[in-house]
Amino acid sequence: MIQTISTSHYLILAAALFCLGMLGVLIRRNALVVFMCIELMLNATNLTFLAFARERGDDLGHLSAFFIIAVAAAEAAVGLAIVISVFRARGTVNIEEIQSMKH
Amino acid sequence: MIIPHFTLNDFLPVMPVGVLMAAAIVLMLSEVFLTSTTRTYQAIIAALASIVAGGIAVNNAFEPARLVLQGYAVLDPFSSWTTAMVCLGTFLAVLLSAGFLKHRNAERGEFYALMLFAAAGMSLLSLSAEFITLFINLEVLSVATYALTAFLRRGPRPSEAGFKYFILGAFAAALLLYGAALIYGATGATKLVEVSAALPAAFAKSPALVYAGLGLVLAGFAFKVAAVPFHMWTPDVYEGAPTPVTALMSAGVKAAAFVAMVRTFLFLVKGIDPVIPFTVFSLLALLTMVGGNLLALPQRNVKRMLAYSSIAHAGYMLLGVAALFAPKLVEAGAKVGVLTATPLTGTAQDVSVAVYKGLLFYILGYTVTSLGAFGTISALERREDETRGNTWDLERFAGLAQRKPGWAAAMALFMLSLGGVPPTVGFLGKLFLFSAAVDAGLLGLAIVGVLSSVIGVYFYLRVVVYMFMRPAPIDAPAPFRHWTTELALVTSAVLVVGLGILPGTITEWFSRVGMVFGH
Amino acid sequence: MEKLQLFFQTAPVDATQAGHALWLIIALPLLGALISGVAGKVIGRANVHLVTIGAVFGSFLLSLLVFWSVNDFRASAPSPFGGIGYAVGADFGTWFQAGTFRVNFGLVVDHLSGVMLLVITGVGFLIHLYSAEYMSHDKGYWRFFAYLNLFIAAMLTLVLADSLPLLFVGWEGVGMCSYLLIGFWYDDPQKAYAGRKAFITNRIGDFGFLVASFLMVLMVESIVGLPADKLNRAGITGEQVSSRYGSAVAEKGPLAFSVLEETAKALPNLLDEKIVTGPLTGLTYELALTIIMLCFLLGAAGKSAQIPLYVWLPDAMAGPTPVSALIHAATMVTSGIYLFTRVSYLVVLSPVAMITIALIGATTALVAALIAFTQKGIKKILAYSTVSQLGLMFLGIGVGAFWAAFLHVVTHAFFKACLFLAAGSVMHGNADEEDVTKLGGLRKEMPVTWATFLVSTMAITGIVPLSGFFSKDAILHAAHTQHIAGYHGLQTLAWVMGTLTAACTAFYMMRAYFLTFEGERSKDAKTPHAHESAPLMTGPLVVLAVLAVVALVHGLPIMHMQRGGETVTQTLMENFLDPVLRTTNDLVAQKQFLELPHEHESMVGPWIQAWIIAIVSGALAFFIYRRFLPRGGSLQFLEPLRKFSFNKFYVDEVYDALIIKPITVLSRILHKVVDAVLIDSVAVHGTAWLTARTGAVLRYLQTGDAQMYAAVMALAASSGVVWAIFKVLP
Repeated sequence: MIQTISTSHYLILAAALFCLGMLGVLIRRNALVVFMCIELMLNATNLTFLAFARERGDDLGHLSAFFIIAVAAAEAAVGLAIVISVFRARGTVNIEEIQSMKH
Repeated sequence: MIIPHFTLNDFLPVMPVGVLMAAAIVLMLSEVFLTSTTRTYQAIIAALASIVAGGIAVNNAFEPARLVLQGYAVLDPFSSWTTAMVCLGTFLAVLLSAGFLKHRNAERGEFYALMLFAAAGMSLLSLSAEFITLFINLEVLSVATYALTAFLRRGPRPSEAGFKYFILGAFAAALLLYGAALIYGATGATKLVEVSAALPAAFAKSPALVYAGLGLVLAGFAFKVAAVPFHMWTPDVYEGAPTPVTALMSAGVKAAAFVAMVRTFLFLVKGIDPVIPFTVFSLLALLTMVGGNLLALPQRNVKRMLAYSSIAHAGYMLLGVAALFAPKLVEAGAKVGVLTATPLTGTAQDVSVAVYKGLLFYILGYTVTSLGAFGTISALERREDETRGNTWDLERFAGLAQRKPGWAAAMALFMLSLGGVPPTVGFLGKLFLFSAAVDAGLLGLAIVGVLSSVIGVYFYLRVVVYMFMRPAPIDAPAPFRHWTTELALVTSAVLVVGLGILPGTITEWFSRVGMVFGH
Repeated sequence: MEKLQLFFQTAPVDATQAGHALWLIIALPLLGALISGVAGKVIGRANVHLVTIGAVFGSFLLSLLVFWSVNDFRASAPSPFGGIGYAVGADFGTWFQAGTFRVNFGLVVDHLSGVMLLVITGVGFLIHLYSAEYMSHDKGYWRFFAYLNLFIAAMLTLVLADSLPLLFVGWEGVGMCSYLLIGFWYDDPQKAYAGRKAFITNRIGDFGFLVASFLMVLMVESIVGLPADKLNRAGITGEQVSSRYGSAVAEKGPLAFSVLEETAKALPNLLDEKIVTGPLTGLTYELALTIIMLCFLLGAAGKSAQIPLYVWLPDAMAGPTPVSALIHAATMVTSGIYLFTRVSYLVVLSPVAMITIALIGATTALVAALIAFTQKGIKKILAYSTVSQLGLMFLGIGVGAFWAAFLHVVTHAFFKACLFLAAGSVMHGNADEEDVTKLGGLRKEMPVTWATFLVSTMAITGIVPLSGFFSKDAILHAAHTQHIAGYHGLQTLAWVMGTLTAACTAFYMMRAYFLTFEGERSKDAKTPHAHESAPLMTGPLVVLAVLAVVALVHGLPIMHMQRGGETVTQTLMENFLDPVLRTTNDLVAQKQFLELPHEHESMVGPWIQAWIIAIVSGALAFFIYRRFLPRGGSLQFLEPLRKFSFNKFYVDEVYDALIIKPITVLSRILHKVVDAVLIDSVAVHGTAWLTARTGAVLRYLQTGDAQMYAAVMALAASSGVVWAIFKVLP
């Protein structure tokens, strides 16, 4: 039987998601997956906002989450376009091969 | 639901942004409805819009500092001046782009529209006083610059730069946002004024939450200002982006991020042991000054060298920020160290006025110098070179004085200004910031700063030496000529010298009290 | 006569107005440089000439007007200490301010800078005219004139400045122009190298200047902080001095000359005191002042080509000849002397600095003269002669004969500019032949050049009654009769070296003259017949030669002054500079660091001595080079000495062996030990090398991998957070 789910449960879940997302950004090879991991981080943030809002019972967190979703969508649009342009230029989206500029 | 009562006064700070946005929309529509072959008129529209917006911003700069739009934004000289300088940078960058794009047959209305959107984002960022507003404006600015970076679709470099910038930028934004969420959790507020009021209590209750929040927010800003070790994207992105865009990024984006960072942290350090923010900013300043200059040293690629140089310059500005956050109470017997504050006179002075003046003047000086330097480079790179590796090699500058003395003289001027040689604006900017740092007692850090800028002089002068003392290679490029490019370069050069010789009135404006809201 | 005097002493313009118009003098050539530099290629040669020469001429006219104004007995320049007499000036407001440090943009002309103004714009104008013809075949004419005008503007800034920082702007400006003009023909790598050598040596000097200025600020600030009773002096209470001084420092900045002068007035009672505030704490004021003066000496030695930094000047002759005449003989190289005369009130408070300046000057003078003995290039001879004459001027400064040194600056400007231009004319007419042993017999072929060269040679040699005689003799006389307290022996040595220099000068100048103009035309000559230069070139020569004669007026003891009940006879220049040097003279009288001769003996005796030295030495040259060695060369038994001198005493080689070589070798070793991948040009300098290598290693952290970048960011952010949390948790 699950007892009441407290705020800290939500927060721990959000933190875990955030860390998973971060880890994904750091180690996944496929640019698209990396990109999705960033979305995961943003969603973890949303969850954090919502969890705090639920605890406090105010609208601010909910409002923030909506704004973040909207902004993330805009970011996704540009991000996908860039990934496509990378694919067109190189024929690959493997992040380890996108390192022609260095040192 | 209460409908808020806004007066026209509330919209004063966002008027410049309104002008920029309107012009951007006009430019996008022009691409749909007008099919003229020459598109220089688009650049002229964008340039005029930035002049008008800048004019409004200068006008705003003499308004008293206050909160507007229900506390979501501020109207204070600090943000208004930043907006004005962003507009100046956009004006120059637009002019540079006109020639640059024409040479590449890539003139498009959306390019200018994106530039204006980016400028709007920068202006908004500098006056945001609430976390979600801050995040949205940061994204407005970032999304526009991601697109601009990858705008030219020739060769692998622009898309690679855009990709790196996007991934890392989004990553940093996510960090900042998560930090904001944690601070919201700790204080129950997202408006900076309310956050700052609730912080001492929140800090007493759950310090770890607050520190994690603050650290993540700082990481987000440190990414945008390219502070070492959050700088690593800078050279790659600056190298790959179209040069006028690089110029705008190095000047405008950084300026806006700096101002937003200072504003945010002025509110966020309430109730915290002052040693902690001071140490963090000093450490960032130290690493950034030294790292930027050391990394620039071995570069033969001038564009990349300038990218590292922009990191170093961020370091000097961070020195000013560190001085701002220097603890006001200092032990009498404190020793001079790199990360300590030891006032010469024994009592710490309030250097905030000097720091604001120094920061604004530095931003102004760096804007004109950097636009000029990147502008000269942009005029020298040939379209045919884009697939070659050595587009920006020092060798390309050899003998420039012989072939194009005017260009060489201008570039030499910009290099001297970057190196901080009098009587250029770069010298005065450094002088103001360093003297503010010394007055705040940051002796050790200021000495490190001076030493590291001595390293800088070497690689700036190397460009001058190549231009004036090496024979030209056979395939040396001649700069392409376009009146807008030349206008931008002459404007920058005149400002670099003019402000260096006669900073009088402007420094007086920059050092008025009531510069920053809430401080 | 009195009416004439009144005419000259009543200026047609009001002093305030003249002061406010001073910026125009700088602005005109600056505008000329801008027009010529930006649009020179488009508007064509004639227009470039019109604009640039016109700009300098305009400056000259304005300078004349200003000079007239400063002669007005009513003229007074604003100063926080109640006005400077016989001067005009204006303060154009704050230039920049950082904390308590502040610099105003102020210009001032007094008798000292007034004379410099006339010399710079006057000689500058003549040389511009000359260059119009001299550079008539060069494609880079517009660049040349732009640089030349820019130089004039920078030099005018240097002399018009009323504070050290503004003077430094001019100081750097002239250095930059000199550097650009030396390397003007940069296609030739050797000439470009000469430019770089000048650049580096001057940077060493500038470093000295900057350190000196910095220390000066500290010293002024320590005096501001002194209790008022330390500042008592005759006729004025300490409170008054202290409040006036403090407000002047706040108003004009610590490095304004008016503040420095007041500092000097306050110093005599403080010299033995220890500084109690600021970073200089623990030093006595005397020691601090001496260090400051020695740092200034380093700066001045760089700019004015004194030992050990003189090596750049002879190489600087790689530039076009008019440049050598204007920058490297008449104006820029004298800025070290100008600087010391400007702050003469500080110099006379430090005997150590004075004797050092005197010895450096005398040694430079003698060494350069000995090197000049055997040089073959006519411009090289003149270059070493310039170094030597500058040394004499430094000797004058060192023994406190500021007016004599300055008089020599003026007369030297005329005759040396004339010599250089004549040498240029010779080269112009002989297919750019520089070697004196391959010239000869030009007297008939180039009569105007010959006559002017002869007049100037006699002037520099010190033949009565030409101007050089009076100025040089005044220096040597002062070196003989005025004594720096405590250093009599060393000073006598300096005087002997100075006198020897005078003898050497006569010899090598006569040698150059005889080999070039007398005798038969050399068989090795590049062209069978020389041709006289165009009037545009000979015209300035004639004017300068006339000036070289006329300038003698300044050296005549014709002014009679009532001082302390007795009539003192002064030379015109001494009398003219009296308002500028008044504080200096008062300090000399007060501190007695400089012992002046009690009675003024007749000058006739020393004059005859000097004249005999010049004649004998010149005659020796005549015999050697007319009788025995009409084609140059040397006497057999003197060959090793000749070789030693011809190779400039191997100074360049010594510098190379002692400084440059060991560093190179060391760095090569390091280079091989660590690895040999990067950066050759920095490797010469140890620290720079290390720094560069650190950077070079660091750059490989920049792998181009976005994920690695993100990881570094994440790591940094989390470690920062963890550190902060640990810091607050108990």
